[in-house]
Amino acid sequence: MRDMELMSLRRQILDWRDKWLTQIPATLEKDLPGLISLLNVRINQISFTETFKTKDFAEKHLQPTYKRWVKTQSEQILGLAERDLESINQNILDYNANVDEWVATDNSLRNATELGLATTSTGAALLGIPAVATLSVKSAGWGLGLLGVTAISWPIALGGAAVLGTMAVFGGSRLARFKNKAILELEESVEETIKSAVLGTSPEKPSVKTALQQHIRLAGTAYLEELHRV
Amino acid sequence: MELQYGIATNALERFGSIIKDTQTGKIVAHLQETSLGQQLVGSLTGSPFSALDTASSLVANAQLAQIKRMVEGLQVLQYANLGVGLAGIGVSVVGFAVVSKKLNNIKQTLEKLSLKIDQKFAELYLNQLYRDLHSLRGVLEGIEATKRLSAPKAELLSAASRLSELRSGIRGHIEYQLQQNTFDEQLFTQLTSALLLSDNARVEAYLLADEYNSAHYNAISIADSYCELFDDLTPYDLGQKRLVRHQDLRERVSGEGANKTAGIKNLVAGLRDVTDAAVTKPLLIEELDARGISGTEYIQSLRDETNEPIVLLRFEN
Repeated sequence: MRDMELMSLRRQILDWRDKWLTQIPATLEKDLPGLISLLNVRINQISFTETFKTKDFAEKHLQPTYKRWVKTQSEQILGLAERDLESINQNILDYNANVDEWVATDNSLRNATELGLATTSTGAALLGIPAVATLSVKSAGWGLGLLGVTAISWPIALGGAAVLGTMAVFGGSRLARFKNKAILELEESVEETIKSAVLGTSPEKPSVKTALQQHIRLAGTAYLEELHRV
Repeated sequence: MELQYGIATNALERFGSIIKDTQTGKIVAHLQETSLGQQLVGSLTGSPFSALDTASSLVANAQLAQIKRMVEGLQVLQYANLGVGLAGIGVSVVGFAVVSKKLNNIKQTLEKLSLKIDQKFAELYLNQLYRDLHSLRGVLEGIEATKRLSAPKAELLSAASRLSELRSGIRGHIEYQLQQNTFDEQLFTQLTSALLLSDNARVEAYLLADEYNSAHYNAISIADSYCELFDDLTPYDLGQKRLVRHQDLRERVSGEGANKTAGIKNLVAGLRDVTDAAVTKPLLIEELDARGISGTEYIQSLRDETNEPIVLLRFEN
């Protein structure tokens, strides 16, 4: 890949990759408090009964919101990254068009084959980052989900009591205090889980950030390989 | 001025050490640092890769203000962060003083490092590194000394060959640093500076020997090796590694976070520019060769220029 134009395109791709690898965590970090606030609103609507089954509550009422947020964020971020890539796409297509002109004067099988391959794969690869729909649920941190939310640590006195019985044993104000405490614990637990699922760095449990960055890395590598083939 | 205007209006653009027509892609001029430019850039070695366009004390320096004024219209400020020049030809113009300063910087960094890692390993590692860097200095001094020889070709070719061996060792040190889970920006930068110096000096030695084919071949090989070594590095990944290092050392991470991020960003931008400049260097060598310009005379003319830090070479078709 000695051609100066190719090297210039290579630089554009590297700059694009570097920019979006940094942009993804920055965007997610900026928008994450909005998601947490949204979930906290729902958590504050939890019923006294539901506080005993927080995992069910999370799966039923919080996880759908989280999934929608991840889908929207992923689409927006990858959409912007893809738009950012369009000018580079055009430059590569322009370059390939010039190369095709050159092929016309050189009918050797080697060049025709190599460039034919390049043109074909360019058509597919230059469509950009893999479609958002392919963002795997597991790879985008959804696999962690909210199932990791910890159960509320009710006082021991409440441990074995049935809910109705408990209500009879404790006065209304004490129950309200317990419920508030449960809400607080759930909020903290959800926040911790969400942060890990969205921004975590564990290689075993890829976060949304890692999954999106991986898309950028793969797209960058695919583009660079494409240039090498030209 | 004409070129600066062209760049400002996007009719022209700089890529590596060339300026090209944005529409046609045709090369309009080659950028080349002179003796003065090398000295100015070399004076930055104490603070490599720092952003010149920030309000740093460096910019207050009259010499740096001069180079800034001279080159900002050509958008080559990033180069000044490298401690080596634009096309990297004429590195021995700066000579021993700059190399010495660079080696002293590396030595200081390593001494600090040795306090933090296993002592026995540190001793072995540092011994090897010192040996490589002092050998580099010796070879560079040798190239300088050839100026006094009536027939220096054999010595120049021998120096080039030795530099090729030394760069393998230095590259090994850099790769080792990059394999670690943590990232020491200062050490990496200084090792990279040593690699660039070694590579630039090698090409220059071939040019001084008027061995254009070898100069061209080595310049291409160097460009390829920079792509291999630097293309995979990203500001995000290096920043994450450095964060780990700071946490390991229980250093304060917050507060100066923004500056540190900017530092890594500048570092990677500098590496990209180094690679681009390396990619375009063979084009300059081709032009010099095609026009029958003697390498010795070309480098001598760069040494003789004391007013302009950067000159633009425009070759008529």
